[in-house]
Amino acid sequence: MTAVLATLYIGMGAVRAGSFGPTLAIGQVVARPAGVGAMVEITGILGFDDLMQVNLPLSLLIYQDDRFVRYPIGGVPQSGTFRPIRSGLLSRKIERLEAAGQDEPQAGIIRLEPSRLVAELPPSIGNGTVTAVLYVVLPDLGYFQSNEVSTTLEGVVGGSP
Amino acid sequence: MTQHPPLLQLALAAALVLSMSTRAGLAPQVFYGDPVDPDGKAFPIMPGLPLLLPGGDEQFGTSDDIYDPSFTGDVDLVVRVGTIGAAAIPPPNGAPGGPARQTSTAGGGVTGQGEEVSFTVMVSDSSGSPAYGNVLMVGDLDYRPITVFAFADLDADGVLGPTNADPSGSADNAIEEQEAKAFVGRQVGFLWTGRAQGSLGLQIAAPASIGGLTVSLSAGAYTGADPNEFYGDGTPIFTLWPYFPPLDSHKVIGGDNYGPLDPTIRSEIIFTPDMNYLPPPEHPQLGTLFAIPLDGSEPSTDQLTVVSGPASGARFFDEIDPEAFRATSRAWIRPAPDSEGTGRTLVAPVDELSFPADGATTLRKLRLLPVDLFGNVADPDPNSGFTIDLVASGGVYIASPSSDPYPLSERILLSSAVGTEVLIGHIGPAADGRIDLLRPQTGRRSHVAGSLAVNLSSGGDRDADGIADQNDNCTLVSNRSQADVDGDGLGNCCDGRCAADPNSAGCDECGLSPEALCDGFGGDTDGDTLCDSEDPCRFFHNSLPLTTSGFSGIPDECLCGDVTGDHFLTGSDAQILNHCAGFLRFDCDLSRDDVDGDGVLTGNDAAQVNRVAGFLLPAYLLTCPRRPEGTCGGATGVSCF
Repeated sequence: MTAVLATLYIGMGAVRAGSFGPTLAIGQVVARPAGVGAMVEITGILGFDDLMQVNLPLSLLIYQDDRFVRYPIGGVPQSGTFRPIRSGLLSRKIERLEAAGQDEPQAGIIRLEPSRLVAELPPSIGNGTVTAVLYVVLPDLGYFQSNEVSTTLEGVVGGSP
Repeated sequence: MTQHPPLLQLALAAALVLSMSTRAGLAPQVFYGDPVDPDGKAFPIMPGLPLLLPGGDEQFGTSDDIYDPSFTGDVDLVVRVGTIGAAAIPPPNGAPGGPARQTSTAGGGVTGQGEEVSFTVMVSDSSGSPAYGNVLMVGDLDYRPITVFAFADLDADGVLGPTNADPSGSADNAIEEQEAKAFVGRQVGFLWTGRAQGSLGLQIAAPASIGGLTVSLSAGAYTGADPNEFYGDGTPIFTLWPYFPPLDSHKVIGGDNYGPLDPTIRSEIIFTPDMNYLPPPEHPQLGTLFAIPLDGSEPSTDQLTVVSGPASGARFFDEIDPEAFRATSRAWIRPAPDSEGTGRTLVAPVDELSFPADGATTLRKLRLLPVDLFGNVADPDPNSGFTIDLVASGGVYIASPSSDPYPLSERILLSSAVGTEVLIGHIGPAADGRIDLLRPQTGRRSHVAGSLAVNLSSGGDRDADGIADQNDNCTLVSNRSQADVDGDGLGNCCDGRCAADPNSAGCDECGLSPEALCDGFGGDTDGDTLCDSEDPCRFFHNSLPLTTSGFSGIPDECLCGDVTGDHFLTGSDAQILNHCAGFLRFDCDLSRDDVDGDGVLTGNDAAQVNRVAGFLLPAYLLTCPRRPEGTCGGATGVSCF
């Protein structure tokens, strides 16, 4: 019976894809103005429980056109421009993305909960389409990233950046 | 739960004695002297507890459970805070003669705040000499996986889990059930010569000004001979837990997955709370056995105090009403100082506030409290305090406090974790209001610290009994008394009580049969007295309020395809469905799992669930007999994402 089950589990690889690595998935993204700035709220599977077990190097990436802001958990947010991000985040772009940008004092994580992450957006992200994606780079295990979810930010004082 | 008859008890005891004398030598040393079954396999017994077995159906809480108080578990496994290398097992923190209880800061160090809590799990020789025994430093359990789970004493009564022995008696049992249901930290590791060391981060905490939050550590280890089975082929050994945890290691580690354990791979812990057995406090035999005293008198577990990180933001909260509270598997409520600052209470975060559209309620009072990054109520800097600007918009105004003539903004100094009470009002037809919470910065743009969405509920007061639908325990029949003798959340006029006994409290207000209640509201297909037009689960007997744990937005009671019962649709659900479709398992439920509606369980049902798990399909599009609508929004109780 064990052999039968083992065979079946191998056959179920697609079903369990990702189960041997951090599961990251975004269910909903809401971006809205707040005061004279803006904030974004991510709901989904953030691996936060897992983050508490082992220092999981999770990053939230928000981008708009070629402008981005990156929130490494436990690190300083970075913002800048990165032209390849316009076509979405691919694992091969992550290394170059992480080398781009500079410290962004006007951005920060406001709240971190098991299925919710709230962050302040910097002035460089203005009205328009905003896209969010989560990713993790694990030594020896490679890149893991969530689905990308876009939403529209409107009503920010000053409009476009 | 039934105690087995004396004859069976005698037979069982005879079999135990016989097997102890003939087969015990095959077991690892930790089981020496423990009662074993006729096949020589030790029984799982938690320390200090009687023998409790799930019986032939392998499920606790059913009529074939075996309960035998003539056997009492000894201490096989011990967990202690800290890194311990000595051979003698030290006393728990806070025990007489033991070390003082340690204090840690929440956050696990993942954000540069807080720190991880180190622990040591030790296999005990149960010698009692020295007092807590010695570590069983043998290699027969090497590489066996261990788990450490942390639980929080939310009500600070010094006991973890439901008990009627505290001053509140049974009145706060739902809060105490929450303590046991929702773990606040977890970790896995491996035994090596009788010991496993590691660290874990803790999610929730309380401000140091109210003494922090007491957290208790419990541990389990899975024994056996086959690493491919995660060593789940042997008998698990436990410290005391606030409930009986799953005996099958796959219900805790690996989530039905086979493969090498790796503590760096987070998703290898998949905990299914529904597999736990937590007897109610009034259970005649087991009612208080699982409550863990936190004064150091319980030898196998250990405690520490967790305090919140530095205040970095603010959030609105509502105080918990213990009588209306329902426990969930999520750690979502928080300890806080009471509003007078003289004691402590429990609060629930409020990120969205609804006012009835008919204007029946015009003001709501919430508490604005300083919080750390993880949403724990926190102490602000005692030297500078913590200033928050409230900025209202969309028809919302701040009625109190009011330091100036402008009701749309207010600067508030949060000088302590007691925070302040804020009275929020709503005027005009706007349905998309909010209050932004901003942290002013000198010479720079304010930082965003949080937000409260304010909207109008569409329900109003349909039965015109003066109680808004959102607060009404019977929305379609006028019942101003709100009488609810069985405390199920549905008024007597709506849960069939008045139809069965017209003399019950409040029945003079209605006196209708349950069937008549739903005339004109789509009938009541499942007979749960929730009319179909407002029932999120039309074909499943449910009650309100529904609990929604997963982010699918679908109430737990009617989430199609959630075989594991963890309130999320994951690959595990799809995998089990595939097994049911292939007749390798038989515990699926057609009313819940036939998500494609063809009347049979097939690989397509598994595939549909897998698509939801991979975010390729919204969960609300899955239908099953329990929730056949396939819609969201409005009165369905299902969020549209």
